[in-house]
Amino acid sequence: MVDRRRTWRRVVLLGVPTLYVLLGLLHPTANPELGDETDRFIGLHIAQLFLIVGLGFVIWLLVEGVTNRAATLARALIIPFVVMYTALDAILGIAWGLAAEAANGLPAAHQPGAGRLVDKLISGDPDPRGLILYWGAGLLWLAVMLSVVAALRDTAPLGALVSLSLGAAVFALGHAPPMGPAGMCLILLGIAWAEFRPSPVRRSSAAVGT
Amino acid sequence: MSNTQTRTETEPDTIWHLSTRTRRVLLLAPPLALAGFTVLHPQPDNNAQALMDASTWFMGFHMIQLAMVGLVAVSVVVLADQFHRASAWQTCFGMGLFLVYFSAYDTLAGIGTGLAMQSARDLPTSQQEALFDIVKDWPGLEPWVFWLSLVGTFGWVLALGYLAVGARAAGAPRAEWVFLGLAAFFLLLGHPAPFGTIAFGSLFVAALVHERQSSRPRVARSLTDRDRPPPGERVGHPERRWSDG
Repeated sequence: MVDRRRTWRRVVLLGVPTLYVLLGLLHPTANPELGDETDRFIGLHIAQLFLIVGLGFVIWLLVEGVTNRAATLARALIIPFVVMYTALDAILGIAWGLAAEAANGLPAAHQPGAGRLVDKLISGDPDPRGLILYWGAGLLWLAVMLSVVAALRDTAPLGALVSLSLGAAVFALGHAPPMGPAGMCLILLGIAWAEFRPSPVRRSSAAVGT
Repeated sequence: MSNTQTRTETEPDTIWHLSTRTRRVLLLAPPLALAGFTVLHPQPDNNAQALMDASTWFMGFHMIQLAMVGLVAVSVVVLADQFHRASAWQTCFGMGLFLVYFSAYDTLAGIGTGLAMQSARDLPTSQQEALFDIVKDWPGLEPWVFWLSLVGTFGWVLALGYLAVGARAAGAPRAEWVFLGLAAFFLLLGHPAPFGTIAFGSLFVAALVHERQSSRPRVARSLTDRDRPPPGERVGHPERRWSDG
C-alpha cells in the first residue's frame, strides 16, 4: 500500500513537470496575430488548464507532511496561484486565440477592430491590465515555489533547493520557449533530486527510525 | 458499539487546524458573500451598444467573482475536512476542476467579453459590430467556452455531491446534506441570479446548519451506560442518526 502510494506520488511529481516541458516545447514562441493559424495555440492553452490543476497538486505533495510555517504558506498560496494562473491562461491564451481565430474570418475592413482587441490583451500600452495579470501570475508562482523551497530546507539537498529556486524564477518569466521548458526542466531536476536523493539529515533520521 | 450524541464527529483529526472563529469565517462568509453578489450579475441585452454600456461593470463583476470563487473553494474544502474528506480524490479532483475550469470560464466569458466591448467604445460603428460578432458567443455558446463551463460545473457537482453523501453517511442533520445537494444541483443551471444565488446560498445554509450543530454541547462521550436514557426516550434531534464515537 505504501509502495503504491509512493509510486503514485512520484508519477504526479515527475509527470506533471514533464508534460509541462512538452507543452512548452510545442508552444509557439510568439502569440498568433491576425492571419495566423490558431488551433494549436488554443488547444495548448486548454490543455494547460489540466496542468495547472496538476501543478497545484505537485505543490501540495511537495509539502505533504511538512508542518513548518513556510509549508503552511505554500498550501495557502496554492488556490490564489491556481486562480491567477488560470486567468492568465484564459485571457492571454484562450481568449487571444479565439479572438484571432474569429477575426481571421472577418472582412478585411473590420479586422482592425479585432486587431485592437488582440493588442489590448497584452501590449500594456495604454492599458496595463494584461501586463499586470502576466507578471502577477508569474510572481505568485515564484512566491509559492520559494515557500516550498523554504519548507523543504531541512529535508532536501542543497542542490535540489537551488534547482527548484532557479527553475521557479525562470518559469516565472513565461511558459513559452525558451523560458518555460528550461524553467520546468530545472524544477523537474530539483524534484527528482529531492525525491530520490534525500539530504543526509533525512537519511540518517530514516536510519534511526529503522 | 453505537454512541448516543448530539452532534456529528468533526473536529478531531482534521487537516486544517483552525480556531473556531477562523473556521466559521471561512465556512460561512464566502458562500454568503457570493450568493449575495450574484444578484448583482449584469445581464445586458445581447447587442453591441448594451454590452459596451455595461462593459466596465461586466468586467469588474467577473474580476471580483474570480476572487470569490477561490474563497468558496476554500469553504468547500474546510467543510469537507470536517467530515475527514478533504483529501478524498472526489474533493481534490472536483474542486481542482471547479477552480481551474470555472475560473477560466469566468475569465473568458466575463472579463474577456467586458474587455473586448470596452475597447470597442471608441471604434467606428462597423468595427464595433465586428468586435461584438467576435465575442457575443463567449458568455455561453462558443464551443470552447461552453466546455470550460461544463467541466468546471461538473467539478463543483462532483465535490458537493460527494460531500452531501459523506455528510449523510456521517449522520449530519438532514437539512445539511439536502442543502449540499441543492448547492450541487443549482449551479448546473447557471451562476447568475437566481440559480447561482440559490446554489451558493444553499452552501451557506448547509455550513450554517453544520456550525449550529457543532456548537451544541456534546453529550455522547460523557454518557456512561448508567447515565444513558431509558429505552424509548429520545435524545437530541429526531432526524439525527447516532454515529460511532
